[in-house]
Amino acid sequence: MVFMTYRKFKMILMAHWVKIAVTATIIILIILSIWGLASLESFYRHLTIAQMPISLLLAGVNAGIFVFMYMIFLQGGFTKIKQTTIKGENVNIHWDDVIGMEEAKQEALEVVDLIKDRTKLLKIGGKILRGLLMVGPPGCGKTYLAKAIATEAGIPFISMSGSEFTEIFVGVGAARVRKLFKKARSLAYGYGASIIFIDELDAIGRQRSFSFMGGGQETNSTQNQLLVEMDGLQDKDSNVIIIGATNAAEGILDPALLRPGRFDRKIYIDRPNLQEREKVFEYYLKKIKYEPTVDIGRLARQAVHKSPAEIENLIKESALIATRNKKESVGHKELSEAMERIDMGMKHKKHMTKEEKEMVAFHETGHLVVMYMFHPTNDVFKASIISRKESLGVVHAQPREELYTHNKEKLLADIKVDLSGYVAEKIKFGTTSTGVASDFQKAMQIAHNMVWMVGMSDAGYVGDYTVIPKSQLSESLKEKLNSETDKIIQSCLKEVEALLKKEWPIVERFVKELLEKDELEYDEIEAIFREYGKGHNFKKPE
Amino acid sequence: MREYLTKYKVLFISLILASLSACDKPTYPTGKIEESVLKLCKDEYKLDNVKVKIVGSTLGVYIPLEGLVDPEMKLDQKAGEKIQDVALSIHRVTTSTDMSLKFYILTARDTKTTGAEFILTGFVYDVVRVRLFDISRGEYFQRILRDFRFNPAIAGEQKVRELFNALNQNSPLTETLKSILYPIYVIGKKNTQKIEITGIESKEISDHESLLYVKTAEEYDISPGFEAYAAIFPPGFKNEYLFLIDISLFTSPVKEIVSKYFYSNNEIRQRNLKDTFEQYKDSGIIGIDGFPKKDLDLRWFLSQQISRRIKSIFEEDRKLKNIFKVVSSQGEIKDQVFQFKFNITLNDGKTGDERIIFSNIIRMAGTTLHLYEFEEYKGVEFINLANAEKKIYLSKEDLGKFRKDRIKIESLL
Repeated sequence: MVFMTYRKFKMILMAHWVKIAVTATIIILIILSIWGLASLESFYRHLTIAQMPISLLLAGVNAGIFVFMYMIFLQGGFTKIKQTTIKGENVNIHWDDVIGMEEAKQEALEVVDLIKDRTKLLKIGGKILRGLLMVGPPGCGKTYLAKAIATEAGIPFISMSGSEFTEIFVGVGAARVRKLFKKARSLAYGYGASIIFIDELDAIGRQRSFSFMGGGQETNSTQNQLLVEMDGLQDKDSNVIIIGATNAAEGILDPALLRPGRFDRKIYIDRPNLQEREKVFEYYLKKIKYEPTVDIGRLARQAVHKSPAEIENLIKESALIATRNKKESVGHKELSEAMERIDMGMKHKKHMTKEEKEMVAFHETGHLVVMYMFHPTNDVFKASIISRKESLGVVHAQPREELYTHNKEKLLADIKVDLSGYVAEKIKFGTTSTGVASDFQKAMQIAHNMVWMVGMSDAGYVGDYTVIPKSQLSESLKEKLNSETDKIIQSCLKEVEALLKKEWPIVERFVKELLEKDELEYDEIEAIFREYGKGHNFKKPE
Repeated sequence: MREYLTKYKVLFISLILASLSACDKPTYPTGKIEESVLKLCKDEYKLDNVKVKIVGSTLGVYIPLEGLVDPEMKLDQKAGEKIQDVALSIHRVTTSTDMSLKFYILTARDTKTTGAEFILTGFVYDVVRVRLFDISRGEYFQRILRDFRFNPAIAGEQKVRELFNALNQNSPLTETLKSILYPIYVIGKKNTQKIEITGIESKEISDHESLLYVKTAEEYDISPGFEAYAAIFPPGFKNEYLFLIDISLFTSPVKEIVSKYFYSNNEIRQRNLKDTFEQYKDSGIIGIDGFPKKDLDLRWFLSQQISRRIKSIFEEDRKLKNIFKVVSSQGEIKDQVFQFKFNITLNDGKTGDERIIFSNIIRMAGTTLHLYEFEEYKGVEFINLANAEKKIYLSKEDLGKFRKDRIKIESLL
């Protein structure tokens, strides 16, 4: 204890000797000044005291000008880094606050144990942890997790962004890296260990490029310095752990950074799954007032592929909407509107003719009915004929669960959904609109990929023909493959046509509702289908 | 930790403020002024014969100096340095005291050459202003009254004492005076007369004349035939004289002697010399003791300063100096009206251009009074003795307007 206090004291002396010396000098000078003043005749004493404010002001201005000039001309100030040093216990983010990343959390716990039990590890002869790389999409809580590690380990935490190292002057980034590590080592000396957290590591950690024009030299030199410092840690025997966070793919980062001894531990922080999303919703909903009718499970299903940050944003947005609607608590309507606003963009009503609007309604209803009846994985949450962004209408669907692979049925259902707008228009009006263009693009792309890439044609063409240069493929093969693509489209078209004709009363009913209300929510959609004996409820995943 | 830091900061700042508040004490407090001047002169400038006296709000300092006047009858350099040292001590004390001293007068008097003295008169606030760079040193020197002169009162007293001494020694030089000094040289036996001065009072009635009221005790042996007088003028009787001394008359400065007793129309008569003496106004500010006779006031100070500035206008400006000559310049204030009498002519003695003379003087007077923010006067009268006593009177308001060029000199002439 005494030894640690001594070390902390020494660390403070080492780290702040300039400040201490300056403060001591100032105190001595003030004492001497007062002594000097007291020895003056009262006239000169009063004169000196009266002049003090303006003298101080002038001295301040002079000092300011000097510092400014120094920074500008001698570049002394460019290497100044604004890294924020916080003591571990002051970061104040605990494990319980980290939600929606259970696996990553487990890995991080191990890291904390390694930091805490460094001595134990050394005794066993284990390798000290140097760097920890957190990879994952944005908004998934990488920074949050890093802070939680600092809190749990109870050690100082220096946070910097990768972009803070970059400067137009070559060498400034490297100098900042040196300063950063110097400070971290000093903190590690006093507190036993310290953490450097570099957010957006890809800003300095990209694969080094070597150009005869000299481009990228600054990034290279910054990264080289980072590599040297990370290696240098071993020589100094300092317990400094570097946590890097990036949303760039692993291949983008320089291999030298990823080799053992540098970022030797990697944690993948992905978007949360259904259960994790539920936890995230629960966590953030607790912070606002919400109606008891809000179904968190349904929200979690609706928010497939959403990161915790997006969920947080969604809830904040819903609170704003509730405030605007003069409601005291957030209901499902507000949450749904917030999600829609985030996913689909703001509504903006375009002036359309009655016929045009009717055509849009039939088009969207086509999508809606086919999606509802045919799609094995997706559910319809909303149908709208209010224009948003570039589209005149939209049917909002979400997968019931994250699927990382897609089977043939799912892909065929996607094609059918895409074609359904076209079919509905054709059945009703005997003609079609340009509104089908983007649908066709998607349908063709899926059908093409099914045949050319993943062997899903009925003709038995197996293999990825896209890897072979087109010039090396025979024309007949290309023709056959393309004909298989067409077959898929045609077959889907027929099925859709048959379905819509069969369920035409439902189609007309939806069109009527849509033309009346412009938008139909999940409950209303479900109710109409139930009315026709076609309803199906969500099954809450086990 | 932050709270501790804040506490320490408050403590630290409080200590500094407490220390600074202790700095508010005057270095030379009331009651220790004389002592302080003497101490400074003695400790720092090795001058131990300085004397100090406070008259009202005027600090009088006197220093006798041997060799104040050099053989060419100018201020001796070494004496000048000593005067500077004393002046500096006065400045230090008057600026660092809580006593409201307004003026100071430093008198340095030659111990060898009787009546030679240097008088430095200053306004304390001017000292403060020059130290604060509120006025320039040049302006400050214009504001000090410096007089290097022979004091007619002192010289006159000296002459009177010399005269009685010569009479008592029966010097042949005094034979002509004996008949005036009635009655002992008339009724006494020859060479038995002894006159002792028992009291002497003096007044400066001009810059070169002094009037002296002398009291004597006279011894003599009565001459035969005058025994009856012994009853009236017994040996050792008290007598009085008035002496008018003009120190500009180097060879015979005694201009007039009036005895209390005189024989007229077969009877002994007497005059009230004391009343006559009292009727004359003393124009001197320094007494025989070297201290101010009375407390100075700003009105008198400004009248003297402006009269000196009139001289310096025509002596320091090269163009004006080549044309004009200032024969004399005097200033005074009566009934709240400043009066400046000057005699300014062309260098050849002819009458100069009144426009130039008056406009320069009036503008300077207006500016000086304005710079002192002096308001306690009704008007200013300017009289040029050289031109049939040409007079210009300006009220206080008109003087302000003239200073601001709202009144032209042509309209005043």
